[in-house]
Amino acid sequence: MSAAIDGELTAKEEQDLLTHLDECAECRAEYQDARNTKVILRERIVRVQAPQTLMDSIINMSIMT
Amino acid sequence: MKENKQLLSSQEEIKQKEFQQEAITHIHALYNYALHLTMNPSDAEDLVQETYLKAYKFFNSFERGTNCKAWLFKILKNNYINKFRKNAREPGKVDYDLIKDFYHTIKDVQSDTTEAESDFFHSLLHEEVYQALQSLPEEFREVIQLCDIEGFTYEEIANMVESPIGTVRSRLYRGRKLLRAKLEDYAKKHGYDTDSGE
Repeated sequence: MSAAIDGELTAKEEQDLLTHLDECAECRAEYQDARNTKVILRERIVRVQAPQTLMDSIINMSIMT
Repeated sequence: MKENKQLLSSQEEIKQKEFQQEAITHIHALYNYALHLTMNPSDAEDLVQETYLKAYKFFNSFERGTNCKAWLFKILKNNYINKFRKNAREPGKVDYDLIKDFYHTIKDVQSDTTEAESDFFHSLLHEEVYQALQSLPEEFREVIQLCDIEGFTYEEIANMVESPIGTVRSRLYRGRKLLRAKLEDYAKKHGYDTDSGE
């Protein structure tokens, strides 16, 4: 299930899963829940920018080393 | 002698350019990862700085054509383990106050950036998600973070956490299940419930 959500299944595995999901409401609900969890994380976790001073010091480090 | 020196400096120049293009572009992702590991902006900066120092030193050993971000993350993770293992939090123990303080710190940092204003109210919603993620056992949290937030493949994650792909797969499955239980109310409240799955 996780592998399907992450696009890590082979084409054959994916086809088998889709066929099963068509027939099984329980797995279908679980699949959607799992996918929603991934979407929530992607959309809702705060991402910050690295401080400019850190970026400058790393660029300088690579120039001066 | 002079020619040698010139040759060396032009090689060094190529290395610098490549390093900037390949490695420095990932600085924001590395900083975020370091923040989540250390929960402290100053430690995170140190960790990123040390990671880049090491990465530059060993840049020749970076396998060209592979994912440089994954290579950097692995160096950062190793640095973190060496440096902070002593102070690592006990497994299963969650310090909610620390998470809350940390969350507000990064939110403040974010409000210094240009994207802040429109994101501010979103950030308030994020806290619940962040706490849920942080409250997972580390082995689950780590793979979820690397997969869902950083977008690494299973193979790259397996390499980073030094476990077989099957283990990564099962940790993701079990971790997501735990997370889902914690986020059930959140999902309903914010329109992520099963019915709106599409």
